[in-house]
Amino acid sequence: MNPNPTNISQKDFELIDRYINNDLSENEKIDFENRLNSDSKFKQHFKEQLLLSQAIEEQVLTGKLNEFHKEATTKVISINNNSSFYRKLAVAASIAILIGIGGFLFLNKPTNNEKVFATYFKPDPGLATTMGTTTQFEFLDAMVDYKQGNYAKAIKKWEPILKYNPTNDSLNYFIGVAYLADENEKSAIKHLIPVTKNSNSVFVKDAYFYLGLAYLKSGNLELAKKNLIFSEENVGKQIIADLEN
Amino acid sequence: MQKDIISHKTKLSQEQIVSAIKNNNEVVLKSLYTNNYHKIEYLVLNNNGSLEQAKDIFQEAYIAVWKNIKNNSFIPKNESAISGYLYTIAKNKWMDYLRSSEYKKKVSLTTMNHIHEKEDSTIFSENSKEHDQKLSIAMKAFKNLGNPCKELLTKFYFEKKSMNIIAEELSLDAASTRNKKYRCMQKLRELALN
Repeated sequence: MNPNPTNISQKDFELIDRYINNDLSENEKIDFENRLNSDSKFKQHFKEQLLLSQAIEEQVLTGKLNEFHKEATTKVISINNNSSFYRKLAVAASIAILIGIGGFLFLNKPTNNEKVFATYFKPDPGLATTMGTTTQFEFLDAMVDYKQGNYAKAIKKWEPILKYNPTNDSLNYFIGVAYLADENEKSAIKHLIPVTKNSNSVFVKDAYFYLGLAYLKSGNLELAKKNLIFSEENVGKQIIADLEN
Repeated sequence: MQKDIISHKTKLSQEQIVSAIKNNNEVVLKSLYTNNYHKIEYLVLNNNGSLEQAKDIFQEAYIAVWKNIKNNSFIPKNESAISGYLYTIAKNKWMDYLRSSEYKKKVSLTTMNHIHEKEDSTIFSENSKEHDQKLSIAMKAFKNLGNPCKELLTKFYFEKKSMNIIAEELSLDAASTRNKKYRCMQKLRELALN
């Protein structure tokens, strides 16, 4: 083992990272590999850094296994045909919204629409990302981005799927909420309206709620209030009360 | 729900799966776990094992499969090839345990149900004992690192995020993010390799 393993320059360190990530150009790669063969100290650094990066990955994955295990041993959910699952999620979503705003209720009254919006808008927490079968991969893959707050990325992945399923309520709903989170209320409105018109969808009330917020953000108070009332959410009433003060 | 969410595509290509696993795509990693665990649980429970042992054996096998895909010593043709491979490794591990002296002390072999399998399929490429030892020391070192370093290094080495995105997420400028990553790795180097 190297008696002084810490002695590596930042430049070499970053070069090795780029090599490990396969980010070097062909020429750089050749230079790199030549240097590995001729410079034993550099080779030692490379081996160490590879080991450390492997250790980081394995430790992080090991840390996730208990969570995976919990999901494997609780009821398996399928995204295709289990509408009660969606209902539960919708309820969970509403509860999350309620909890989210609980802390704000006793704060000062917001002074304008933007402020009210900022106070009350919390993206839907999204769906659990257990895969039933590979068919849901793309939808759920985007859901991971959505949950991480990468709304634009999620939208980019969802929109091609929507092309094939233009009337799908969950796709429209999540794309709508993602647009709203991404501060594009115009597109949010476009996607949320069809969900509110679909009386079979479990997302109807939540869609009204977010549609109301989208109108609030775009400054259309009348439509905002109307949709918030349709959402039948207590939070909706609270928002209207705030707006009227 | 009115209809299936995705109707135009059915299966991931081999390339997609392998690259998703190499990039630690959480959806794929999680489904690899949840879709395969129960078969192993069934095997272990029916062969003198406990739930706890089923979990341990499966997780060991799971990590081994993940590693072998990462270093290209196993190149799966499709998802079911991964499942089969995972099952074989877990089964062999459980067989090894049943044959081990630790187990023999507890129970006579004759009471076991007969499970038999080719023995050449546990592949541990170049994982020499020495390498494994170093790796486990480095893993412990990482675990004991401070949270800010752990967070940054996780984003870069596990989540494979670009430095620009990491800088943005940590509200730092590009140069300080790079410096911080360098310093964090230096710290880890000291803890893990000295």
